[in-house]
Amino acid sequence: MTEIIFSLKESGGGYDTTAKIQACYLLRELCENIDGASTSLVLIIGSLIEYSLISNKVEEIDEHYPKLADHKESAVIRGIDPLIRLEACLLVLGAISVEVSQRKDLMQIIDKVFSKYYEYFLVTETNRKYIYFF
Amino acid sequence: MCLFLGLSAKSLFKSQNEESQALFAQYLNFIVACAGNTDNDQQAVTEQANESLLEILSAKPSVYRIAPYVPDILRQMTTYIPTTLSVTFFEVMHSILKIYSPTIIKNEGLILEVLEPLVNRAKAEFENVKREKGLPKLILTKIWNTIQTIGEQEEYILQYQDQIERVLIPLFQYVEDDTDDGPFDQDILNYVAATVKLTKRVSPITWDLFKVFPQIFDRFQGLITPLFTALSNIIVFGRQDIENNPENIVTLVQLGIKALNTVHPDAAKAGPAMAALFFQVLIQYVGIPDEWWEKMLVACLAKFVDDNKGFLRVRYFQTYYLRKLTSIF
Repeated sequence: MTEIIFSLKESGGGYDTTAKIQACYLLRELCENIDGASTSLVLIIGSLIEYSLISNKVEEIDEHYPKLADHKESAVIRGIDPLIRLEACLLVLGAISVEVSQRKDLMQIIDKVFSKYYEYFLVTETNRKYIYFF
Repeated sequence: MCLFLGLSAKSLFKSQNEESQALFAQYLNFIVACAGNTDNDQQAVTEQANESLLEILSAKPSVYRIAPYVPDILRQMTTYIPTTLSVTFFEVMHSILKIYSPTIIKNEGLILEVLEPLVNRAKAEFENVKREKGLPKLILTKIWNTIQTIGEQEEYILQYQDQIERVLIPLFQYVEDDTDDGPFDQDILNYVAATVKLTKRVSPITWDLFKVFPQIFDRFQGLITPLFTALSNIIVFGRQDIENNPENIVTLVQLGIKALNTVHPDAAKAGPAMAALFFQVLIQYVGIPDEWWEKMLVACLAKFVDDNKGFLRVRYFQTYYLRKLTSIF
């Protein structure tokens, strides 16, 4: 799964976009047809988001991000910029949103991540001047 | 982030506690902020934010949840109208105004606050298109779709018709300008048809517009089809005013006679057939002075003799027959 997530890192159009769409379809199919795939994927994504925002140090994985321990050597951990990794994670969550939205337990995990780190997601130099209308 | 929110917002922070609701509002704020971004190098983000907003606002399960935030979202979105480059932005406006009309109408005057910048942007876009031929008119079309939506919503029109039409006057004035090929002719006719039907009355500004209908009709080369719905609604719901003002009857009969003999290249037989139908509506609802009756009948009989298509002959005959019935009863 982490390799599929890695394949979502590329940006741009043409072939990259097609590959991205196929990768998203594959993840969705996995979630639909394999028991436990949704749970596993959401947990990995949750950990990847935390890891990307807080640490981004491989040596801290065993201690703080046990869900990623098996994927320490994977490209999604080692060969990718944290911001791009974060984007790929959001893309995966979007792609499987239909399946995940049926599962309260998984939505709680996602809610927790997005409430704990909302400042990282929402406050950037670009939007700082606009935000908080209501 | 905007893409993710567009796909997932309907299931995020569904818990009813205050913290969850506050977070949901923060994320909504974020997308609304991105939707107004006018930086040229971030247009992809702006487009995505607008796509996501469209998805969130239109998704049925979200409507109830989003409604409390809609007035603030709309106020903020209104500030983007003069500068936005996104076509999707206007689709978002269209959806908000259509789906959330019961919420918006509770905020006094909000619809007028939105309409004014829309009209100004439409004017500015039209001036740009006029200056530089070949510029895309997509934004202009989207703005008119939004105005049309306002005209079709009972809530807005029943409460604010006169104020709305006063704001729209600068756009209505374009119909008098023949040099611009009547840029908004069809849009204005659609608006008139919708509002007259909704309110079951013809507003003073619609009567002013009615005076330039012959000009619009000439621009359509005597084809009555584009004007038919608007004219029929005016006849049905404004018949008292028509009868009280003989000039209006003359205008309508003259339009009908010209339409029977349209020169529009696409008219085929449908144009004259619509004209005969138009006469039938006119006869049914309005008392017509004898001298104009005669002119109508002569025109219909002339077509009756000329045309060999069965259905057309029936239409012309119906007009004649209706006259007979009217004179009997």
